[in-house]
Amino acid sequence: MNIFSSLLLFVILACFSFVSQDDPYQPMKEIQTFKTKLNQTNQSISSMKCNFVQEKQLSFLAQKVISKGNLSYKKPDKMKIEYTTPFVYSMSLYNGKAYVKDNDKVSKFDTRSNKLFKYINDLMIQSVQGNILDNPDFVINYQENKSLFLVDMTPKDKSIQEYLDKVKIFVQKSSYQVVAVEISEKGGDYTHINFINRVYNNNLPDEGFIIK
Amino acid sequence: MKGLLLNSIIVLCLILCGCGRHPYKNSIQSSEQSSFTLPNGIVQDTAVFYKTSVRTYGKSLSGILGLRKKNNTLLVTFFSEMGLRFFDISISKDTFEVKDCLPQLRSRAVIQTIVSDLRTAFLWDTDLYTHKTLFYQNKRPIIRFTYKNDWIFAEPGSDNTLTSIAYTYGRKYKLKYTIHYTEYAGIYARQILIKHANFNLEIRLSLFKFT
Repeated sequence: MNIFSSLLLFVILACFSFVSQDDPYQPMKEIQTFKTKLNQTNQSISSMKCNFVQEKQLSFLAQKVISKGNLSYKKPDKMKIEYTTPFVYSMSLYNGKAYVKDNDKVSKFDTRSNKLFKYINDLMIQSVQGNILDNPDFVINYQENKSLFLVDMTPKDKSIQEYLDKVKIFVQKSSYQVVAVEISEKGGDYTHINFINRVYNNNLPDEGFIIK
Repeated sequence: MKGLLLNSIIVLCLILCGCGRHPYKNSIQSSEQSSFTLPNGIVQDTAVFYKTSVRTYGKSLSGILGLRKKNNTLLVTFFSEMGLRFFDISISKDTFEVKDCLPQLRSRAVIQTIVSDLRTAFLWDTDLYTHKTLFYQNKRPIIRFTYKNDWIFAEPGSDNTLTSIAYTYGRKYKLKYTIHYTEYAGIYARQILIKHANFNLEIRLSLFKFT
């Protein structure tokens, strides 16, 4: 990334956080309209490819850490997440299986055999798809500010609350596209993932989701 | 003949296992004094991160280990690449406190193993290791420190760096685990390998920096 791109990214992120801080969220006025339009947008999306910036708050170490990478999604259940900076790590969800590549070693899991893995698998795909509103496992609170809709979700299952306190989905008002996801844990730590440079409905071959 | 061969293999295995479990049994104590001191594990109030891979009995778990030393306490957090926290633990020289931990890891044996490994690997405190004695093993100097009722053998590298630590116990120095430090970047080893002798557990740590 050259200096210009870095500066541009910094400005975009700075603007985003500026808007977030100075533009507080209010209860959503037209929840049904939001649901309908989000559903229409989801119907029109068959694939998505983007870069992401993941910020994790580590309150125990009094430190924020940032990692970056690429994400691909293809309907109905294929997703690949590749971390490129500052470490290399890939994970792919493909036909009910999860593939993980770490240190050139590929591991394969059946996501259906593990409750938590299946939960996170479904959660990730539904978050990016934007059809997480249909998920009955959450109590959902709808909010909005000038530029974003915020879907604030609290898991109902006590065992899931051990891992997740809240999941927040940020939807751009102008496009009804999911632009960020934030997962918070007990104690206030959170992981905020911004999806940037999003490209929709490109032809993404199935083979691209298999990690070798 | 077959029986003799089988017996020979068993005896050979026992000898090899015995050597592996008691690697310092035959090392030679020296009357010389060693100037070697354990280097500072981690700089005060600086966060250090290791990409971590844990393997045990054919299963593996990967994540990121974050460490920060505050006064004489080591703050440790371990989380997945995607941000899910596995545990937060603070470790001091005599005690530890689990601040948060996934239910699957909440076992006394697991936590005590984690605490012991990380304390030995990173929390070198001069109060912890006393009675320094120089030994030689295959002409290589090794320094034995007394730690409570156990023994820690440290193998020095160049520039007062540390090549390995072996945690042993008992009169014959039975090996509990070894920690190997390689590829130094300043005071930090880029690669650390923790290998247990009494059960199948291997932890590989690779240093990296968040930008």
